[in-house]
Amino acid sequence: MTIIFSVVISFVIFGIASILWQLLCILTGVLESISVVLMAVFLLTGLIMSITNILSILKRRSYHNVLGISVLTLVTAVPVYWVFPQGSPGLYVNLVLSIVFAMISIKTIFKHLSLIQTVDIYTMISRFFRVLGLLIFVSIIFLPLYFMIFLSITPRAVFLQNPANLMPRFSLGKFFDGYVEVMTTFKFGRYILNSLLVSLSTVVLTMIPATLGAYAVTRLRFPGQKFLSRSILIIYMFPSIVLAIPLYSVFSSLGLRDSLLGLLIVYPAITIPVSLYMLRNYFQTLPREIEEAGIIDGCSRLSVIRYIVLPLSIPALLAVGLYIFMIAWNEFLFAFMFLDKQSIFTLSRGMVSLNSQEVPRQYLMAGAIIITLPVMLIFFSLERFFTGGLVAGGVKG
Amino acid sequence: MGKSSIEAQERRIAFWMLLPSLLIVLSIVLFPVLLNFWVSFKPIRLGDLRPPSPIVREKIVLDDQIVRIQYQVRNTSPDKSIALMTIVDIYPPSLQVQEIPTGFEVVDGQIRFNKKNIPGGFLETYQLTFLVTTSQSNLEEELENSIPIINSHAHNILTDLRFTLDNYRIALQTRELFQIMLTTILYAVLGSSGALLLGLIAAILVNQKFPGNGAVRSLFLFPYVTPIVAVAFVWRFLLDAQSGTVNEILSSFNLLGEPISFLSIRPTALITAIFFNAWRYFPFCYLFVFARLKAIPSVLYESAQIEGAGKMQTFWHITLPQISEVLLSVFMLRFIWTFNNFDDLFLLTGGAAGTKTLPVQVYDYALGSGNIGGGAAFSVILFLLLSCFLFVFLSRSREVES
Repeated sequence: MTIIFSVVISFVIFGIASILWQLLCILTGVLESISVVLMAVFLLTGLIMSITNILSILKRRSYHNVLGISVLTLVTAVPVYWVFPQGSPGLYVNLVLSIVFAMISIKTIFKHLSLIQTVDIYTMISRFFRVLGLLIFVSIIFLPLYFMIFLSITPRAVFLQNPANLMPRFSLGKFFDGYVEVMTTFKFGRYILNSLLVSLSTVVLTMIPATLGAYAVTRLRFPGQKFLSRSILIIYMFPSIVLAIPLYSVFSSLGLRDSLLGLLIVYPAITIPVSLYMLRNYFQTLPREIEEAGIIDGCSRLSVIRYIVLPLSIPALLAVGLYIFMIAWNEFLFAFMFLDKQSIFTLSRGMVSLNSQEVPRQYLMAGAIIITLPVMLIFFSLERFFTGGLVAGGVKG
Repeated sequence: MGKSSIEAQERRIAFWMLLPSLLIVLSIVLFPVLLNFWVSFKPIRLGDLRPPSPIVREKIVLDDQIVRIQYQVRNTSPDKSIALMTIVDIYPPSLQVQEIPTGFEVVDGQIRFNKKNIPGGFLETYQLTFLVTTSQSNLEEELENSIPIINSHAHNILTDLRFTLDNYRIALQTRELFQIMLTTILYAVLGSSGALLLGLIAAILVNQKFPGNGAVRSLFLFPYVTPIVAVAFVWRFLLDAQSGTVNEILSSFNLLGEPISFLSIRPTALITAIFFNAWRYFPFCYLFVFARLKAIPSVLYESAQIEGAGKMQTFWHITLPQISEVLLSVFMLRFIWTFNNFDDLFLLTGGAAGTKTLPVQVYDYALGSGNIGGGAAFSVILFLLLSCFLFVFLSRSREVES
């Protein structure tokens, strides 16, 4: 029973590994299309080797990893070479990688097998699928990111030769061509300044009301406090497009529309609620006693805030500020609808103007990297704070 | 007595501290929502938003002892009239009025002109003639330096009292209205479910110790954090029918006869959009689910292990009940935000090939076809539909709480 199960499992694993091998070869441009024969060869030799290894485990003999992998690779490489004599080195590199993956998986599964008598299917399979699942997840997330970088440095002609080949092929001199073009011809330097201006101003314009408001909601008692405290985020239930049309009309009549000032009026309105919410969560964790001591000593509320609360909240203020910056930087709808003059485009708006037939995709992707980079830097430095602070209020046991 | 004054003081301070936030948010968020109702009953088009204004050009002709000041008045709008225009200008005292056209009056060194109801496309030149009585060396300079002050007033369709039911008539008669609403709901439900599922899997996967755990947790946030502009175009290129990597890979595996048009064919486009939504927003779900997972007391797991429960049993009977609340809340949030989503769909497909949802329709009507009133009507429909869902959700969550 156990033997049959082991054989089936190793068949499945080697099947997956062979597909992985082919996929790797295609992505690295080593193969143009799969060859069923190659896959069959891989599968067969792998199967034979793994069965012999399974039997040795079951007989409680030692299991040598490196030896097993080397022997398996050599044994598989020979028929592969026989079928495919003009195979490139990349083919064999990928072969090794796939065999390593297969062997590790089999070893993980059968580690259990050798220790327990009964076949606990879920334990074994869950371990294997956890590794596989992680791999899949990381790749579907990583693939677009890598693709963005890759396409921004690869000239169009080179890419079109084989769109599935994601190995970097570029001449060193032309590495930054896309970026230079985008910054000069397409004026992204200007757009970066505009985005910076708008985002930084939004941070300032948001932090002041939000800090005061958050303090009020946390510490002060007034009618409607509980209601406000709970319904701050209701604002985000409204679709932006529903706000955008009337604002477009009113701002057009007032002459505010095609200007950065218009954006600076709208953006704080979008960012204040969530900033209030996050700061409120943070203020709730500050002990009241320190502030009360200050009040007893005769300080006014504002002094308490300035000299006691704010210095204690610097990490939270920093995090919230960076988050506001990120929201303003990424914002698309209003930037797209309101701005017509090219000189005041923000990066979001500028990106859309790159989307035409005449503009090579390389430039568009270079622009994408430019707009993404600051956000990535901010968010990765903030990640820990978010899993703590942002989520804390909404998650109760 | 002292207590109530402290309370009153607190209330006052709280009022002033909250005032800026409330002012900004209410005026930019709530006021436009109400304004939508107003606008949806008016026949406003895109062109109406810029009220017509006159252009006045002044030209001065010096002819020996005679000075002619000419004003060329033009209405730039071809069809809209200007309700009232006034021109005020000054002239040097050394000049004496000789001839002025009708409508002009010259009083106290000032030239004044009023005109009502200037029609669209209006173009006319008025000429005033003066005599130089006393010689003045810098006459020309002084004449050039006087710039006429122009005030104009036009009917602003936003503020006048013309109403119409046409917008709603057109909106409700659109054959596609039902289709659009169905697409919106489908997109919201399936997209949110997908994101939630992926987020749950991601949270479970990451909830173990392995090398590189921290890095993976940060990497997971990439789809959510990246600007939509960047991500949408990356996926458009990946899924391109002619030169897309995905199609290339699939055809290398000999799985396809011909490339799939992921974003431009009827059912496929919506399915692709749903997958995109799940991909982009799963980190949001993952964050909340993961935080909740970590908060589950390990005592529960230990006792389950002692009692010999298997992995599946543990998950079903312990983990799942603990996180069910979070799953529901996150689903509701994602549903509403996906329902309202405009950016993603607009950048991915522009609303083509069966991916037109209500928000996209609002944009198409208002700025695509230039029918602001129609766009507002659809906004109202969107808002009402959304309110129904909100009402259901909020009453559900209140039930859950009690």
